Formats: sequence, C-alpha cells, structure tokens
Amino acid sequence: MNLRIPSLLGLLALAACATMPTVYADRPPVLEAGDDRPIPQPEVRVFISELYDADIYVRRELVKTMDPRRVPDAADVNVLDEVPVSSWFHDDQALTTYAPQGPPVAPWTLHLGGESPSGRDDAVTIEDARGVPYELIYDAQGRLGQTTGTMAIASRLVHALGYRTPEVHVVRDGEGRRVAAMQWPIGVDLGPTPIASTREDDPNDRIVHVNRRSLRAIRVMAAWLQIGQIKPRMLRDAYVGEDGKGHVQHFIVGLGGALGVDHFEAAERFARNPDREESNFFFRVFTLGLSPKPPGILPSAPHASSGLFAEHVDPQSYPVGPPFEPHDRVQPPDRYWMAKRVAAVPDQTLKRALDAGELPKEATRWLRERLDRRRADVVAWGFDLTTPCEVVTVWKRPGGRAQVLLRDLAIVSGFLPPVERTYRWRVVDRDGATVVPETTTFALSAITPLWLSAEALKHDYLVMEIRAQRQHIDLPRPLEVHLRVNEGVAEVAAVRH
Amino acid sequence: MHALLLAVGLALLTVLTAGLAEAAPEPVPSPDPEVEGEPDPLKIPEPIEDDDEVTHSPVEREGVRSGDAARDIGNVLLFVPRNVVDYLFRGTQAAANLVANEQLVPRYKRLLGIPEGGEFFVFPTLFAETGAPFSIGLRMVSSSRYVTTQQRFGFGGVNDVVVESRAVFDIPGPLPVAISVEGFYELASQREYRGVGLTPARDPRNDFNSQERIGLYKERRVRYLGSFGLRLADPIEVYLSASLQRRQIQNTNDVGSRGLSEVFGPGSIYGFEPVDPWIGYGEMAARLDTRTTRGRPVPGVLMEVYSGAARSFTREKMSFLRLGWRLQGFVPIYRRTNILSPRIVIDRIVRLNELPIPFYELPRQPDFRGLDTRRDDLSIVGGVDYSWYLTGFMNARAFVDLATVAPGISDFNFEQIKAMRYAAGFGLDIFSTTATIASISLSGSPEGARVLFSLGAPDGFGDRQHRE
Repeated sequence: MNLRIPSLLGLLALAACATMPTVYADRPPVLEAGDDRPIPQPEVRVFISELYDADIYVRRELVKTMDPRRVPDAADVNVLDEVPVSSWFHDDQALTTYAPQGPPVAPWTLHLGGESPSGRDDAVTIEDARGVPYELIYDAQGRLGQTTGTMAIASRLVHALGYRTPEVHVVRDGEGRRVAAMQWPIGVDLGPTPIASTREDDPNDRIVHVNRRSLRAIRVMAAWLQIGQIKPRMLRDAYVGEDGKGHVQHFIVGLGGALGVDHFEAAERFARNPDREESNFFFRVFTLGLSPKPPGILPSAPHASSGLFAEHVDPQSYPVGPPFEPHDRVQPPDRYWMAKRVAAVPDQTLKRALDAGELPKEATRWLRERLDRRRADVVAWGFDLTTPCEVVTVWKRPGGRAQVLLRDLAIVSGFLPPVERTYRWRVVDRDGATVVPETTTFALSAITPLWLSAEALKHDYLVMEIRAQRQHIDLPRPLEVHLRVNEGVAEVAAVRH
Repeated sequence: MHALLLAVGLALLTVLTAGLAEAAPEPVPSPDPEVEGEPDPLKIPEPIEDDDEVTHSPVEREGVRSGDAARDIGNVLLFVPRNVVDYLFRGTQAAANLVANEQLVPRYKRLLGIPEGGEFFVFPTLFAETGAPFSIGLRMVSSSRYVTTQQRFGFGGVNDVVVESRAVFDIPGPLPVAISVEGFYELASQREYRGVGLTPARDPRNDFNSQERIGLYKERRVRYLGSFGLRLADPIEVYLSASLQRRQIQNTNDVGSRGLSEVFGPGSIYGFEPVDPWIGYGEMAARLDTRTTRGRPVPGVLMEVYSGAARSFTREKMSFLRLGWRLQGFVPIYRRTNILSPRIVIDRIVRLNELPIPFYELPRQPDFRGLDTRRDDLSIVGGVDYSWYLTGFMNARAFVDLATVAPGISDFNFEQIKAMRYAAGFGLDIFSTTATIASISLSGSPEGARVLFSLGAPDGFGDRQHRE
C-alpha cells in the first residue's frame, strides 16, 4: 500500500507533463453548418427575468468556480479555425443581403401591445402596406439622430461582422418625424436566445451556446462599437419560413445603445438622479448609503446625434453588462477571430453604414474617425493575442520538399514592419516527437515561406508549431498548422491559433 | 442531510412536473426523417459536458496538454457538487419554464378558465432557516381580469409538506372588492414548544416533567379560509375573513424523552392529542398602506388593526378573541433609497368564559428575527430596519428587534423590560418591481445566531391571517 501511493503520484506527475497534439480527422472543412434543416415551429420562449438573474449571478458563478477543466476550444469552428456559415453567422461583409425588405411602404397600420425587442419604451409597432411588420423607434427630445442614426449604422456594421441583425432604415413617419424603422419580427419571434443551454425544441441547435465562438467573441464587437449592454432581450431567435418547413435563425436586435449612446443615456440618468451614488458595490455596502453625492454633470457630445463615443478603446478591459456566460469561456483565438472580422470590414461597407444613418456630414465624419481609431485599437490588440498568421497554401517543391506560405495579418494591416517580425517554429509528428527542431525564420514580407524537408514529409501527420515574435519577443500563443502527408504531398489538415 | 433533502426534493419536483405534463399534446411529427425527433419538453437542460459535444472540427484523437491530469483529478473531486448545483438550478428553471412556456400553460389556463391575455407566473421557492427543515417548492400564480389563483407546494422531507390552493375573485367597481377562498394543508415533523412566558423555565404556569425544557411535536394542519376585501381608497383596505381549521398534535417520532408529552406534565399541554378540535374563526382587519410598491422599500406608512373571535365546533369547548395592531413607518434618510423603518407589532389573545386555549393558538412572534420561541397571551415586537440601495435589484438591510411576551398588560413591569429579548442582524434582499424575490439574513441574539434564506415569495405572502 505504501508503495502504491508514490507510484500513483509518480504516474500522475508523468501524465501531467506529457503532451501530445490533437490529430484531426481526415475530412473536408465544414463550410456550411447545415443547421437550416426544416423543423416544426418551436415554442415561443417566455423570459423570466428573476430566473435569469439567479442563473447568471448564482448558478453561473458557483459552477464556474467548481470547474477546473480546461476551457474547450470553440465548437462552431471548422478545421481552418473559421466559423462556417450557419443560422448564427453569415459571411456578407459587403451588406448584399442586409435589407431584403427595404424601408416600410406607406400606408402603415399601427399595432399596439407586445414586447419591444428594441427595449425602447416609446417604440411603436406597425405593419406596412405589404403587411411587413416594423418597429418604429424615435429619438429622445433634443437628440435628433442619436438613437435612429445609431440603430441604422450599428445594425449594418454588426451585420458586416457576420451576425444576423434586422434591417433598420431611417424614414419619416406620417407627421414628418424622423424615425428608425426596424423590420421585426423576421418570421416568428421565438423570444430571447437561451444562453446557458441549447434550445431543446430545435433539433438543429446542437452546439452548446457557451462554446460558440460567435457568442464568445461578441464583446470584442461590443468594444469596437462601444455597446454598453448586451441584454438578454437583444439576442433573439426567430422561426423563418413556413410552419413545418422553416428553421430557427439567431439575431442581435435593438442596437440603439451602440456608438456610445448607452453611455450617454447612462450618464444623463446619473446626472439627473437626485439619489446618485458611487457605483462601487462594496463602497455602497460599507457607506450604508450615506456617502456624499457625486457631482451631477450632464454629458455633452460634439453633435446632437452623437453618443459618448470614445476615441480609443482598451478591448481587454472593456466592460459590457450584464454577465454573459459565453464570455467566461472566451479564448485568445476567439478574440483574434473577431479582430480579424473587424479588420476585414470593407471601407465601402463602413461608408454605406454611416450614410444609412442620415446624419449631418460633420457628425458622420466624426463617427468615421472614431470608428477607424477604435478599429485600429481592437485589431492591434487582437493581432497580439496569438500568432496572427494564416496559411496561404502548401506548395510541393523540387527535391521532395514543401513550402508552407504564411500570411501575417499584422504586417498586412500595417501594424508591424516585416523587419520586426520573426517566427520561431518547430515540427512534431502525431505522437509529439520532434521532426524538425526549433528554427527561427525572418519575415520576408506579409507572406513568408517555411520550408519542410523531404525527410520530414516521410511522416503521415505533421504539426508545425509557429510562434511569431515581435522584435524577438514571443507572442503569447503559437499558430498550429496540421499537415496530412500522402506519398510526400502535404496538405493542410487543420489550423489552430 | 440537507443535500439529501435537496436531491429528493428536486427529484420530486421533476416527477411532479413530469406527471403534470403527461397530458401534454402529442408532438408534431418531424416532416424530415433525417431531423431528430421532437425533443422531450420536460428534459432538464443538461449541464455543459463538453465531452459529448457536436463540433465542426472532428478529431481522430484528442491532444493532451501539460496539466490535464491534475485538472482531471480536480474534476473528479468537484464533479458531484458542481452537478448538484447545476442540476438544482437547471431543474428549478426547467420546471418554471416548463409551466410558463410549454404545453402546460394553455392547458392550465383552460383548466382555470383564464381568458386570452391572462397572465401566469411561477415562483420557485427555497427556504432555509436555522433549526427548521430545508424546504423547496413552487408557487404558481395565474391572473386574469377577474380571477387570480395560486397553487403552492413546498417540500422539506416526507413529513414536511405544505400544499395550498387559493382563488381570488376581483370585482371591479367604484370600490374594488376581492373575494378569496382557499384550502391549506401542512405537515410539519418537528416543532418546538418551550412553555408560556418570557422565561418559560421559571414560569410557574409551565409544568415540566423532566430536565428537558423543549418539547418536540409534529403537527398536521388543515385550514379552509374565505375572505372579503374592500378597498375604500387607494391606500385603505378592509378585510373580513372566516376560517375553519384543525391542528393535530403528536410527539415527534423517535425523539424519546424530548417528545412534547414527555417534557411537560400529563394533561398540562392543552391541545395535545386527543384534543384536536375544529376551530372556527372570524376576523375583521383594516390596513392603511401608503407605499407605492411592495418590492423595494419606499417611503410611506403601514398601519394594520384586526380583531376576531374563535370558537370550537367539537365537544372540546373553547372560545377566545384575537386582536392586535401593527404600525410601521418608512422614512427616507438623505437619499430616497435609504429607508429607516421603525415598527411595532402587538398581538393579544383574550380568553372567554375561562375556557382553555390550545397552546398553538397563543400568539407567536414571527416578526422577531431572533429565535421565535416564546408564546403567551400578549406579544409585543418592536424594531428598526435600515435599508439602503446596492444595485438596481438589491438592497442591504441592518436591523434591531426587541420582543417580549406576557400574560396580560397588567403583568408588564420593570423586570419584564429587563428580560426583554433582542436581536440584531444584517441581510440582503433581492427585488422584482412588485415583490421581494430572495432574501438572506443573519441575526444574532443572546440565545444564538439565526440564518434565514428564502427564494421566492415567502410563506406569509398574502393578507393577515396568512401570517398566522
């Protein structure tokens, strides 16, 4: 017995030190998730805020504390480390599918009642001449364009990042008042998306939501667009298609708080609150509600239509409320992916989105400047979290060798000159045994080749571990390129950041 | 023990909801044979076990990283507590969501005749209190324009069960009227009786039979209650209520010499079996409540007075009067969100025709947040609460309570005041817009500490007789 325990501990220690790469199955990458198979219409989900609060503030915290397991990689990611097209995500950065219905067609019919997914108390629901439903959202008094313009701009930018959003158009109502018309519901509104679990009555919904990269990385998007709150009502499911032939799609709705509008409204509420108090929870506990009232200063923005849209952002610490369980599991590759999405939004898309806000030229220019600066902050941060390289191709070269071409997005984006970039890399086989010892290669330009010898290509499965360096200092994570070799010809089996 | 009760309660809750949903309509067959069958609507959402997950990156073999073995060991150790917590919350949510979301709602609405547009609420309930059985349950409230119904089920073990069903009919008009009828059943396995008086051990009215000073008993209680409420003005309500109830008292099982009839002398406890009369009670109560909401503390005044008469309907003759009042102020201090709330609660029972009164009818002190262990003909509880804002849904609360009991007003003297009981404590309350939905408090007194945790509407939810 005395011998067994040390032996067991020894084995455990050995096991704790062992590493072995994942070997990916020999299948083509999933480019479409195929989660649009026809299903019967699921139940409309009633949102019970008390249960939600208990879930995120009690269950989530307790379970998280008692879970020592390694956070799993995102599951909605294919072997190329990309999110395939699904009911959650599309790839339409040019906004070609953004507005299938267009603005509402007069005359409109007013509808009363029902929950407002935009969260605005004064929202009005209408049906246009074609029978298409819209929600109309007005600006606050004296802040013409602030909510309406923001909704139109933010919904397009969020769409450009790959999320489904309802189309929003700035129009005039029957009295000539400026209003944002949000086309909702799209199909049948099924209520808020469940976050902690899958939707039990949607057989297509098979990936645990907290393990979806598109949800884990949502706060990076929020940092760019300065969205202060992602409330549960803003993530919504809709049944799209005829009953029995449709499927569930997942939307982000009601983005009127983006571009600093949430922060403007919160600052205004705070200033006008006669009971205002410091926001620190523990300070409140210990001062018994008797601390001096902080000064109430009304917020000011350079334009009536602008929110408190800061010039720069630190995405690492950018706060978004309330707690969001997928964010607890966010990993550097998830953030890098979103930074990549943000970097890839075309210039033309940004211009179209800003034009849709129908704001004064000065205000539009101001917004554009801030969006560009914040985008640079987000992308620079995201590209430093891991090795920001993508595999262009693997070339078969003379002498049985192969050349792996890497494209460095930090160099492409102009954040780093090639002279400051080096790659420290090595190659192991499927069992983790060294095939190519650690080598350092200098970046040639945005694209750099790494050579594999004929000897190395005798192994059937290779894992290249490539760690980028900035001025010879390692970035936190390597890029893993998995190669499957068949008769000396290597092809990419998987990429992991 | 509590963990076991939790597990049993959860299982019962699941079985209950499963049983309820058996009547759900047949699932619509899937039009596509490749699509998996309709999922079971009763299924509790699974805790996140990543091993079984669908992924778009299928692997031939999972990799192993440094430190994985230690994590695996930690996972084995924490697997049970983690999943107990996870299942507890998911089970409660599934039950609540099931009733609120799924096929049961239309069925339940139809059963109760709730018209289109009627509302339906579910409150999971969880109570834990020092010295009392852990209890979990569910309260379901349906509301339409004219009728509100409530079903409550609480479970703290095989011998600790509460079932309550109530219907309130609202009659609109210039003077809004509410008429309610209800049935209530409670089984409690372990209650304490220490005798009458402020210091029962020294009170000559108590006939102790042994060295033990606390008698344990189990109680089976049935009550039918009808009430008529009238709102004379927005803050003023008048209630007339009549109840018929019976309590059957026996020694707690397997406690030997600590049983009630063992601790007290033979025949000295009136109300112990076989004395279990049906008692009819009629009461009139009036309430003035100027607060704008019953959730978060807000400025206002609460005043309540009541008076009622009781008599038995079986061969054991008994007859008594109850009367009392409560006065509570809610005063803002510096900020409107800081509320200082002094209060005094007086309850009195008056014996008629020198007939005996069962011990369980003597006023208790549920408003005292120390240990509620004293009974007598007169009870006085006073206290001050100070509540302050923490977040949009949470307040902190500090409180001090004083309590005393006496045979009558003339028996109050300086000694009585010196022996007055006191408790002080701190708590956190979580609110919705209309009610307190969770509360945790810790109080200390010379007799010991008391922890009280409740989730969902508390037992005393409702008009005055429900606090009895």
